[in-house]
Amino acid sequence: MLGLIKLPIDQGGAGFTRSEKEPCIFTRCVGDDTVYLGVYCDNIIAIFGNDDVGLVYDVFCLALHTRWKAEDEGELSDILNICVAHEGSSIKLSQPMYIDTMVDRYLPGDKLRADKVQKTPYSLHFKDNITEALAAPPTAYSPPDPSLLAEYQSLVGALLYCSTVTRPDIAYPVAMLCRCMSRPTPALLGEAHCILAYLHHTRDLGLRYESGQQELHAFTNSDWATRRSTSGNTIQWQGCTIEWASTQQTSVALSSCEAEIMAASKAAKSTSYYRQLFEELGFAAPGPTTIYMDNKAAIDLAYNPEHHGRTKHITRRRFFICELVKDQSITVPYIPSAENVADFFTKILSNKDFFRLRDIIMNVA
Amino acid sequence: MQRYTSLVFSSSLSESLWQLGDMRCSHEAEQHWIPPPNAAALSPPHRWPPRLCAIIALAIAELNLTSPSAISEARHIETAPSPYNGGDNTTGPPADHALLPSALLDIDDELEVDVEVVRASPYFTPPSFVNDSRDTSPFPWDEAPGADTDGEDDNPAYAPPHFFPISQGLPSRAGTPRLVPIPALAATIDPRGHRQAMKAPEAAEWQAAELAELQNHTANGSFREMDRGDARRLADAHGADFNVTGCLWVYKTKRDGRRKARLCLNGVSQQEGVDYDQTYSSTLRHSSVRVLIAIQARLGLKSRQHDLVAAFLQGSLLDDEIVFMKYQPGHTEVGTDGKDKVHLVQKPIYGLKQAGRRFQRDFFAWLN
Repeated sequence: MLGLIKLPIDQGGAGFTRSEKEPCIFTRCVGDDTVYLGVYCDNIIAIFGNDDVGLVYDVFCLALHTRWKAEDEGELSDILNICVAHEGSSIKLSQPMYIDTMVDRYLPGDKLRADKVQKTPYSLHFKDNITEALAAPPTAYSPPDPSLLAEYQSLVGALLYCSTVTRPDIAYPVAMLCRCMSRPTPALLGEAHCILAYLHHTRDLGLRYESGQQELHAFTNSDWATRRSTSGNTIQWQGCTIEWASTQQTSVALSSCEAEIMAASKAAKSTSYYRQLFEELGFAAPGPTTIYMDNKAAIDLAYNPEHHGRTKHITRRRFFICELVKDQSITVPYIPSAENVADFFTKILSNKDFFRLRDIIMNVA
Repeated sequence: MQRYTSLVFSSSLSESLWQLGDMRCSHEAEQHWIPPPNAAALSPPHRWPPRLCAIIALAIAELNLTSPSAISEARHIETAPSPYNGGDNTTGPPADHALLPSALLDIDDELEVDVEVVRASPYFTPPSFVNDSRDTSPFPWDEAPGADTDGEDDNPAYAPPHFFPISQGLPSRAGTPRLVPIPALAATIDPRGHRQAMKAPEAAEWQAAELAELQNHTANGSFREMDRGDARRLADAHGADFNVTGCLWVYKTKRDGRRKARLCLNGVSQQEGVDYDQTYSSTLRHSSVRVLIAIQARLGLKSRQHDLVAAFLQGSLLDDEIVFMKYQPGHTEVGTDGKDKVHLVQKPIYGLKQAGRRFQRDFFAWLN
């Protein structure tokens, strides 16, 4: 009813164009001079090339401070408590302050803090602990200890924020802990503390975006569980991930191929979004975007409706990826499992693999 | 055991106390409370709104705590160390309280009740077991004029207790003191509510902060005074119901030590279809922050951050949008001419459900 567009403006606007895919990103382009704006409530992030007098950014600043009461807070170094740091030509996003607050609040002792050895954010028994917690029936007769429940839910909630903003390396264990929100065990609280200790030791770690022309590409993978499987995918741009996910699938997969198809369709949805967004922002990809998979059968299915006997039960929405392949907006080449970085979001890894994949996904220098 | 009151409460009453923490209720919640359909058949506590039950319970607990030993006991509970007060209390709780779960000790806030509003409520009937004459109030903190003549702070016995000692009447629990906390009132350093701020040691600073905020609003034209009758006619002229929303003070000590008071409209007292329609406003996704930073890295651009000062107040309401607001706590609603007054809100002030949307409507349109 109350459209944003039809308002008559008493004074001239700033001449920006609002992105259709992301309503809070604005762009204005005059010749080579482009300014990108991100608006978060009362915070405006401006990305620009040149602030010389008369160029787009300068004109915008002048107009902004004339029409609105605003403060110039200088170079972007902290947005929503995310630390923005320049490292040579690349830029790193990290959340050290958030992690410090979390450690102070949930890990007051110095037992885990003193442990300097670099370890994965999960213990050797992580999977067993999860299975045990999920197997326990959530009956009213044996409700979990209320204080344990409160602390667990609060801590996992705090970790979840971190895992979705700058820390894909804890996405998998946190997503697993989230499945036991209503029935935590002391062992799982221990696992949550383990993640916290890992964050404490790697508090300055973050996402590092590189300069130079790089194309969008994605990795997808899934495990195949007895019940519902886990999809893992990551979308990489500028040397680092811009979106990642480790999620439980919404239905049971009868084969590993089916689980992979579900994961790939999910990755295809995100990829499609970023392709459209980048096209709007002027970074249109010259060709189809690559989604790497390590399951031959799933790749075959993405191109042709083969294996009818074994795939006839899969609903059509799971085959979203086929449509995108047909449109030539994505391709799905094969990649050996060892090189598929999306493994990171679907299973427990050895120390060696964990750090190798983490350094690729987060582009650790 | 003797130092605890031996009053027997009905279980429904203690349940009401538990609900209380979640309510943090507005006066409107009180007014709109509807008695259960079978109210007449129920015993009196069922017919009282939960908040009122809590207040009465509080009063009874207070009256029973006035013996000197009970006062000292109450103080022990209040000063017990907790993770939030730094645990620097060296005396520690008496042995009797060792059985208290520490969570109960964390509550470092007091219940704020507006006695006048409760009195005005049609559901209010003083409980018969409280000695209620016209001169003495059932509320111990409701001081008679001139009662507080010693120049000191309130009598400690008058400070609302943090727990209600209740002996349950159930046979299996007989003799076991049960402490019922008021949950969900988190421990904060800043006062919650006007009444608490005015009792705080730094009341003068809070008062100055309130004044500054009011001056800002006046300069900004956020709202203007209006006779209640005129306001009702205005609402009628627009074919809308007449609803006056509440407002409250929110206090914040900034990191640099400044005291800040913000006058917020109480959004929960807004009625859908009367005071607001749509409230959606968009915010930047986290993934979009990453995209912007990646673009900056890709092209080697610069970045800068701007912050709009009191952003929502720079927006504007729709032309035909009328929202009325009560006077801020601590002010009378009767003007110098003896008429009832309300505020007509003219800018999307903080707390208004649609404030973000109204600001965005102006700002995004301007960006285009």
